[in-house]
Amino acid sequence: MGLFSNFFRSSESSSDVAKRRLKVAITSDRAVCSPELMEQMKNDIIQVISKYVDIDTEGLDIKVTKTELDETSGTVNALLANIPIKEGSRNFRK
Amino acid sequence: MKESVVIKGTKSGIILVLDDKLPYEQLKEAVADKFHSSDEFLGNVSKAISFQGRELTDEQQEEIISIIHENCHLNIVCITIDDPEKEADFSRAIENKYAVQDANTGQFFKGTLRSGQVLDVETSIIVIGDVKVGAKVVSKGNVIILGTLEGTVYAGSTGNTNAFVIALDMNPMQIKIADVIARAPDKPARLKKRHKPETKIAFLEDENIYIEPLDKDVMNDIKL
Amino acid sequence: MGEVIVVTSGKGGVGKTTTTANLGTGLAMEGKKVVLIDTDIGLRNLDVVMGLENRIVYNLVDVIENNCRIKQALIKDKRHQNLFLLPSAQTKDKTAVSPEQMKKLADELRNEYDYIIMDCPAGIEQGFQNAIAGADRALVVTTPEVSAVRDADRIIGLLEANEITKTHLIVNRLRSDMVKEGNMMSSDDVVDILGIDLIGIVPDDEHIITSTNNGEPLVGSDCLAGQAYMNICKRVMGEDVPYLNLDVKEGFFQKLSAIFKK
Repeated sequence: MGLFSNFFRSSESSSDVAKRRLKVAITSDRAVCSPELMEQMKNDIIQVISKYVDIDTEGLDIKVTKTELDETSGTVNALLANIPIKEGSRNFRK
Repeated sequence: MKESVVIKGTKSGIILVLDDKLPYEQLKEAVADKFHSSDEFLGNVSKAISFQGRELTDEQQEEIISIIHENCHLNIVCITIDDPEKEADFSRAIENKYAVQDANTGQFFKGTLRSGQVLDVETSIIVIGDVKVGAKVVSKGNVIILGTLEGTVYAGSTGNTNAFVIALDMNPMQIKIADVIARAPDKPARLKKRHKPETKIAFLEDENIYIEPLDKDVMNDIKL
Repeated sequence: MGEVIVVTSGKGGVGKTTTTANLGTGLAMEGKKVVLIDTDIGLRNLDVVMGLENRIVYNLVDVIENNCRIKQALIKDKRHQNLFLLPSAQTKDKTAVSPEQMKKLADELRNEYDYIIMDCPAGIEQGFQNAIAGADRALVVTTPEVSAVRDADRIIGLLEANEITKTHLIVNRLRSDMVKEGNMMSSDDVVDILGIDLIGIVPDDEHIITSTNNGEPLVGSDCLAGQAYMNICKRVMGEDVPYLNLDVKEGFFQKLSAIFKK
């Protein structure tokens, strides 16, 4: 009997499964950023960084992804920005 | 010298001011001349008429109107009594005249009217199909439904109190005739199933809407 | 000065209209002057749930388009003198009304009524924007199902974005037997996920079906759902009411089997 019920039901109850799946889904829903807002943020970042260094605006890439900080905290949302600095621009501006 | 015939125009009618001194035979000629010469100005429209300045018998009024019809393209649809609310009278009289005409012509619609659909017509309407809950038929004249009426019907929507509604299976949500509204009685859903199909007519009498089986007596009372 | 409450959910079929009808009726039973507004233009339903479908002459769009005065369009409830319904139009679509017009309407009604309750359509398009335009507070209805909870989260975010901060949660159709077996999320689980305060738990109760059939809201009746809705009304009015024990009274056979289990 025990074997039978274990076969059909994992140790996690269906409500636990629901809760876990929902948390993941909702976290990514909440992180969604509209394309317009993303574009705005990108422009603002370019403006600020350009004050200090020449950057290659064409190659700039910004995205929101999930990443694991350490073993315990699970996944968190992170803003990843890849900002290439233009060739020949060796020094940061004063 | 004062003109013996003067035409005053209002929005939906004309006032004919007549000289009360002139002998009647001369007046008729003067009316004919006046309307003949004003034909182009008056145009081909329908108007109500009222008379001022001279007492006319019913026969004389009829005669003058036929003279007008002979001499110009104006269509005099009715005569109104001369009073301070002339304008309102004219338009009401004309509207009713047309409402009656429209009520006595009709058109057909084939198909089932479902929730959210509205059939709005100027004339009387015969629906070949059902009018479901939430659907609505609006007519200036009469409404005849060759099917089940479960929705809403507004007959005589411009105020025709003689308008009626007939349905092969009369089970309406709401019926409005002229300005009077009747609605289905409030009864629990389980009782509504007992409704048995029967051809009925809804009509207006003394500010109340009555719904009765369509028998010979009721049919004889229908006024078109 | 009356309060404008929007009842919303995101997902359809979770019980917004039933909640609106029972909330309005319950508040009226408590002596409040209440207007219910069906904002689901093109798919009206609150009128049938209230049992007032045969009295509709004018509707929300007629009021907005000035075809009639507000008073002419308000339908008085069958049983409660101080409860009114402004039905939605069945023949128009949601673009017939703008959020600005809805806000103006709500503000006009506010002067004369204690509560103006907006029954929001499903979805997050213009119908939703219309319904929340004039709202002071929101009641978010959800069921303990993944789809409904996820949509509720989206709605809560949109309410925040529209600066409606007084937002409470109603968990509808809870089955305590399934929660016990671990086959349904509990109201605590849902609150935990959504992160807003609870204002009511309504059990899955077949009386809801029969009351809807008859067009008579069951708030205040003896059944569990009736009590639960009444408690929500009182909490909306600011009273502190303890939560019901939703353990369904066991049927004869369950009792019998319980005895045998011993």
